[in-house]
Amino acid sequence: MDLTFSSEDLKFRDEVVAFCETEVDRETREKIRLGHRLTKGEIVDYHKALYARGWAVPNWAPEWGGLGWSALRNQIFEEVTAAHHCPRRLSFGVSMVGPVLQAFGSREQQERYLPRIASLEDWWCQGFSEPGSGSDLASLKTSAVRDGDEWVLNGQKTWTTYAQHADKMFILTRTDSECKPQEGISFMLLDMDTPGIEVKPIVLLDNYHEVNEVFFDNVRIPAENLVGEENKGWDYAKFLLAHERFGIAQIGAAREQLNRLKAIAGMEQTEDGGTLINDPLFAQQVAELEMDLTALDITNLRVLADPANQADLTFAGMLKIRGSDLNQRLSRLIMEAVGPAAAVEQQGLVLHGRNEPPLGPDYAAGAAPTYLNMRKVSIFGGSNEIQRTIIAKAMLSA
Amino acid sequence: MDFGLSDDQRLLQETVSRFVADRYALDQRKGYLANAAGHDPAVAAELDELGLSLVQVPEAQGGLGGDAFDALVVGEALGPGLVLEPVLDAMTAVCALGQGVPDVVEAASAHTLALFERGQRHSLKPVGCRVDGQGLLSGEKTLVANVAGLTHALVSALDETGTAGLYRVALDEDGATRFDYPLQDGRPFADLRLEAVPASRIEGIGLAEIEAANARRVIAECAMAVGTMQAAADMTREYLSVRKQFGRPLAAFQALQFRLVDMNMEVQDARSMAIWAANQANVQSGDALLRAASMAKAKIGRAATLVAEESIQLHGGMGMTLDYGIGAYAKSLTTFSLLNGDVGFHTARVMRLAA
Repeated sequence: MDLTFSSEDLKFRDEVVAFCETEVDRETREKIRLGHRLTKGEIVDYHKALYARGWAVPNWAPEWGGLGWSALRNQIFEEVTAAHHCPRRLSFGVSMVGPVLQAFGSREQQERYLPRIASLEDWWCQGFSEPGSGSDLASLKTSAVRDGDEWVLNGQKTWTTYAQHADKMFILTRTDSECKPQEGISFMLLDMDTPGIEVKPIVLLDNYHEVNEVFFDNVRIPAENLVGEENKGWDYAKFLLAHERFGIAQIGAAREQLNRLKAIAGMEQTEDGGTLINDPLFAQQVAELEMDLTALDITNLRVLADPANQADLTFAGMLKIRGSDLNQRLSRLIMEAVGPAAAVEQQGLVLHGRNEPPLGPDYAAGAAPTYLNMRKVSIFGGSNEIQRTIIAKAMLSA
Repeated sequence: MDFGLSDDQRLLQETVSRFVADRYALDQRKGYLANAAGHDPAVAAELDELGLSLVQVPEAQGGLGGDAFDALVVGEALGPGLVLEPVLDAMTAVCALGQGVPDVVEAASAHTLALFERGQRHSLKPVGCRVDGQGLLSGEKTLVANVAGLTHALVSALDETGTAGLYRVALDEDGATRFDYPLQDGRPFADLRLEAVPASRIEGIGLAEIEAANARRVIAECAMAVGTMQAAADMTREYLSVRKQFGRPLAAFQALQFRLVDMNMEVQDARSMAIWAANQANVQSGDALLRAASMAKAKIGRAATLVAEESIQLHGGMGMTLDYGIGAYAKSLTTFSLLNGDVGFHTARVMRLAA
């Protein structure tokens, strides 16, 4: 047993630190530190910086620019970038449709799309969830009917993250309804500027436009945009979701939040003139979070370092459940540390640059919106109840 | 980064697991508890022959030269057996404190630790035990492991200047008496009363060294609790699969599935924490070591209570019976949570010793 990093890994860590400090826009990092939202341009610029550094698609096949990073290296990258308040890597292209195209796409699709994913010339969004198909994804109804050299798409997707920014969508469509639901689904690629697509914003609890409804009215998709075989889309989606689990515990983000929490609690004055971090009731909650994070960090490393644990569904589900719970609790405690100033809705003021000094310290405005936004992490990607169902099945069938 | 076991560690694990399977099945253990000594001296002798107390002793002193990862392996493997002998004490604190005293290291399992006093809860600071100018120790210690074959106790006490130290006391001296009792989990323990008993000071050991050695003991106890929790979770999973109500196995009910899953996550969390703490025991000293032990015990103590309570609940009425096995695990975990610093004590220490 050995829990130390190799000298190569430590050297890599230094390289990532240098990248964060010199190649990533300082103002962008400051916005993230304060819990403010980024513009499309800021997100794109970060990905361009990654691309310029050669780190845009480290986990792809070498042929398409992959670097063969070990799981541990990915973890180091996540932790260091989170610690430096860098944006999160957009997963839709790099971690979702990219790996699917490499595994199941045609040569033509690979050559056409993969380089533009790596450089973020194409921003992809994910067309999976529907109003009637959340956790029960296989019940989806959006249908594609073959008409000559095209598919004709009708229906609706929802919760589509950043559809308003996207150039392309990968989408699950029903292409056969006369069979088991899972066996009549196909995986297709779509240009977002195709006639018949309408994107409508859904504003979330944090007052932010992050997700959308997307409506399809006789949208014509070229036949060549089918990925792999017709009616095999469910298999590709499962493959994709397995890739999505990577980094699901969000250890780096949690560690950054814990440090932020300690810093804020060290500055906030209590009623008796002390600081919040010395209030026993508050400090106890911080201590418990630190312990829980320490355990989750090791569980995550146990999974990364051991292929047997990676294949074990009880671990994948546990990382999702524990990671989301931890990040939610951290966001709540940060908000509570900020105190009454967190109750004021001033995100809009910050975004629109109103010429009024913010209420409370600079970290106040983002606290409640971040807390509210974080409620999503136990719901998306298979809700924590779905994860428990999966774990139970794996445990009881063993 | 590597979480795999070395060949030596695998051998150690197999040796201990085989001993537990052969000699410490829950029914066998029940028989040992019925003995006058509260355990079976013959089985204790067999356990002693495994030489576990030598695991962390340097090779130059005739030990195996292992580290806290080896102690972790031993602890977790012992967990399902709920062994009645204080083998972890010998492996960790006794050998650490007796370093350089061949009489202690060579007969570690004949030494019991007498570090706590009544009314002082989890404090390791001696208050009522004193050594006079003639080197005679007087006072009382509590919660001292008390098995057959013990010859000596390592007793913390104050000298004439009021400085805490550690003393070796022969248990057959006049003036040394034991008031014995079982713990909630059945283990034989005692209060130790000393009246002007000759005591030899162990040089170089003060309160800081006692705290550090005890931290290593806590970390090993955490590993053992992980093994016990895993056994309890496995037994509970098995019970849910077999027991039928309303015409289907209990495992078919989602409310129970979710509780089983949460229990399993607690066990995995606890195991990760024990691994982390063992690594800290290898690389840290001073306050950082104490803080690591406290993080581990606070986290694993909480998990132990949850697993104990959920094991009983998921077994329904069977979980309440003294006879059925799950109760033995639950009582062991409950006792673990209470002793050597509970969750509150260790959480407070994590808060006090800022990282």
